[in-house]
Amino acid sequence: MSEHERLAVLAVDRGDFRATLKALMLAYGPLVYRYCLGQLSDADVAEDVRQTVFVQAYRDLPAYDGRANLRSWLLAIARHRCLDAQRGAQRRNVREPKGPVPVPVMEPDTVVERSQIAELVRRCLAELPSPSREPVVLRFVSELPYPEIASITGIKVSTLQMRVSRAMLVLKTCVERHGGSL
Amino acid sequence: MNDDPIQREVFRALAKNPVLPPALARSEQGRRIAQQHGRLVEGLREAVPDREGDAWMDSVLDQVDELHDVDELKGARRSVPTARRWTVGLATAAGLILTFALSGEQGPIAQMMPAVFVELVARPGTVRGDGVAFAPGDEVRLSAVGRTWLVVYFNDTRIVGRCGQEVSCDEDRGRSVLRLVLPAAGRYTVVTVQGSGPTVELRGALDSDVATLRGMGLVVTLQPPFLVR
Repeated sequence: MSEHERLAVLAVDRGDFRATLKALMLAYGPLVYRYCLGQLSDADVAEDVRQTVFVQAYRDLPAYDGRANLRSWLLAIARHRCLDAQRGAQRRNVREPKGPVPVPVMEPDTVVERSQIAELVRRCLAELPSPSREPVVLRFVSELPYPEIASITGIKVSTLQMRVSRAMLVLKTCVERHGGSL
Repeated sequence: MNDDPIQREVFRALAKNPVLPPALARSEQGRRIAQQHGRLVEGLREAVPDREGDAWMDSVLDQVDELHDVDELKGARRSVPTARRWTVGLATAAGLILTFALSGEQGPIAQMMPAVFVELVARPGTVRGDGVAFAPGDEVRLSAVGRTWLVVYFNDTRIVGRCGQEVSCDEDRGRSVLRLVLPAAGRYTVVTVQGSGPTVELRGALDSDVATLRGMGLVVTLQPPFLVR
């Protein structure tokens, strides 16, 4: 447990919610942002959602009962706020239809740099349907263990593992199809 | 979609456990696919980077402050222990509301609730709002709803900060704001003054200053003192 996590736990125990909020932001701000970015594929929207998550967390702290750890509790809030943002984006896309995000095609036989692989992965990740993308983000970006992912998403561990396995294959195929050599 | 059975098997195994089972690890193809999987995971971590800077935290704290403002104006503030620590004068405000309600007087809520928030804004090694006691040298931000004078007394005998009369208070979203560096350990009492009148010379003695101000028909509220150690 990091120092900030420890401070957050101590502060919430003594009911000091402002101190808890600060410690939570320091401990989990990057985690929440990266989860949101992985889910939403838009840095500015992810930032807005991150702030919404922490404001909501502050409001909800008096009701925090300690059943989930603070990290899972925060990510569960983040999950719902990201779903809201996705629904909002879907509604906007219905009104203003956009084409799919173009994935750059690498020249065959080009040595693809790591950063280019990352760019391809980013775009391919955005193409994954949300039920596949989310467990991949939580497992490999957030680096959470499956039982914790299961508690956040309400999905069984075996189902999560199956989705991760399939989604990673789809990602690999997508990256290679666009010239990325793994 | 890839239909290579060994690849499917390796990806399925690595989804469950980062270590490849021996049966697959013995195969060169299995190891190669596992390396590709590893590069894909690296790509994922790089593809979703963190964002530089922590200005977002200030933004969250500002939004939380606004929540407090809204709650105050509604007169329906939640019970929050941290806020109790940092808010001086809510009990006074509640008493004022009751007094106004009983007397039947109506007026803007802001005038009835000059409760003062005292918040730590600067100390080496901390950022604002830490749940710690005040210490000499801390910079604090005092804010009260509405237009009001703010006068800060040290040990009831000396004025160490003031605004609203000769020097205007800063304004922030409808609040009067005064920033102050706490000069020494002791007891600090914030007085809010509402109303208009000629310039008043305050001598620094809390009791007599308050009597003078009230004698001029101004609404004076003493906030519960806070200690600096």
